[in-house]
Amino acid sequence: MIEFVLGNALIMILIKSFIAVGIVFSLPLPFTWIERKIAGHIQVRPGPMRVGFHGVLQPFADGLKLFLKEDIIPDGADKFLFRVAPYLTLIPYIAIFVAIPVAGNAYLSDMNVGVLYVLAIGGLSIYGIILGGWASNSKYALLGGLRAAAQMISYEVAMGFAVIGVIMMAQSLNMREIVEAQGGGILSWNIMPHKQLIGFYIFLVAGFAESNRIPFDIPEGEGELGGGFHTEYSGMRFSLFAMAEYAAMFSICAIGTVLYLGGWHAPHPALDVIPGFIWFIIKVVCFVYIFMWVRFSWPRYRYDQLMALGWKFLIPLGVANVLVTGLFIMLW
Amino acid sequence: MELLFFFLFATVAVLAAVMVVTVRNPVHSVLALILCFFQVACLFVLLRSPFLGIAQLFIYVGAIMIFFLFAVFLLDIKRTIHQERYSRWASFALPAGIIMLVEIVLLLGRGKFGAPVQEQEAVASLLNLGKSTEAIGAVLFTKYLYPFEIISVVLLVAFVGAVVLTVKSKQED
Repeated sequence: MIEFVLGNALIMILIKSFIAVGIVFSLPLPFTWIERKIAGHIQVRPGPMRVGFHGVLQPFADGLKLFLKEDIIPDGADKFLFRVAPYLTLIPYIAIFVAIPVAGNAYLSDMNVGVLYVLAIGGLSIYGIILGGWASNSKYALLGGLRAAAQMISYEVAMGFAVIGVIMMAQSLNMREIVEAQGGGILSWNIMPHKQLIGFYIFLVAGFAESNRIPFDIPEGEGELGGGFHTEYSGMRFSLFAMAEYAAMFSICAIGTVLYLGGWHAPHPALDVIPGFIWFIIKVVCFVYIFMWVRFSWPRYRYDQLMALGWKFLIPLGVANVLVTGLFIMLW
Repeated sequence: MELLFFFLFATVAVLAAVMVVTVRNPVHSVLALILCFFQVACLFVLLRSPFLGIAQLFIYVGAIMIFFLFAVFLLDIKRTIHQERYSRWASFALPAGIIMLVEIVLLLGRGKFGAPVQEQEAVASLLNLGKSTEAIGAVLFTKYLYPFEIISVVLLVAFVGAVVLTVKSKQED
């Protein structure tokens, strides 16, 4: 039986798909609770407390509420695209998890061009946001969609330049080989100043922008756009967009861990007794905490400030980083 | 199995390409074009060239088509939908299409269609490279360096041209 399953390519593809889908769909449960708790404590209030111990069951209550809400499709909307858009946002993030190696032997697919795949697929999720904004037949939603498109294109360039530095250090596009190049303690990780600290900084800022989170959540902009691209969405379709935002944040954190934080390697070789996937999870959780910490500490950028930061600061810095990295690799 | 996937991707690609020109709503036709590019990327992967597939995904699906959508959103879609379907350009496009069809049939018939596979294999084995990414990089920066540089200059001219055109039209306003 087991030989049959392992030998049959189609069944293996199905099993792997189920694992990736399962990861993405189970993410919002812990994330919404943690996010609201962190928000509460940063603002000196307890956060959700009523449902379960310290509100741990709150995500289930929220999920039930969203599930029971009416699914409203606005008059004059493009019905097909309006229905499909939330799924288009979510599916690329499911596809990303296929390529991320959690430990040396725990990955769903070992691709030669893993880094490029992850960046390219992550960029596709923007179609759901743009089309959701357009199909709503609402000016706020359309403006949100257009902003999302412009923001995504600007910051994807910056992120690409940041990642080129890592690729040059590892001499490979394979995610697993990139992690292996960072083996041997915390000093070998790409986040160290003598490695790719500037690249990590660009990656982090571009990551905030790509996951549409504060300080770069102008596609939603509830202050001026009343919710942006998801203004007209309600019920389950709205929660799919929220789920996609968490999946985006999580995938950026996982990619950042692989590229800059040494993936499954322990900070010191002596700590390798603890299995790699536990280190990976610890690092991703710390990374996620930074995302949430920033969300409740910074105000939102203005649109022109966002564009200026992307094109006039991050991209030149990224190009300089590639040149300096190349120079050091040549000289070493 | 591989043949099955090839026919799946190829059929969807052709159907999507047909939809690009037959669908009335311009946004839908851009979407069909995106689907078509996506299938072509899948075909590259089937051809054991994942780097080209991902590059197709990155550049065409991920960047260029977003600009397309951006432009199409700013059109007056309701007016475009009710426009006459056969514009005066059709009389030019039809002969051009027929000529291209004849050329394709002739090339296919003489067996000269497609890239010179043997030559590429010779280049790859000459440089002793296994991975497609490294092979493409090495060939691009040695054998095809001159065309590569020419293309970058052409692209730069296009960039500058776009900036010049927009700045000029703003001054006229």
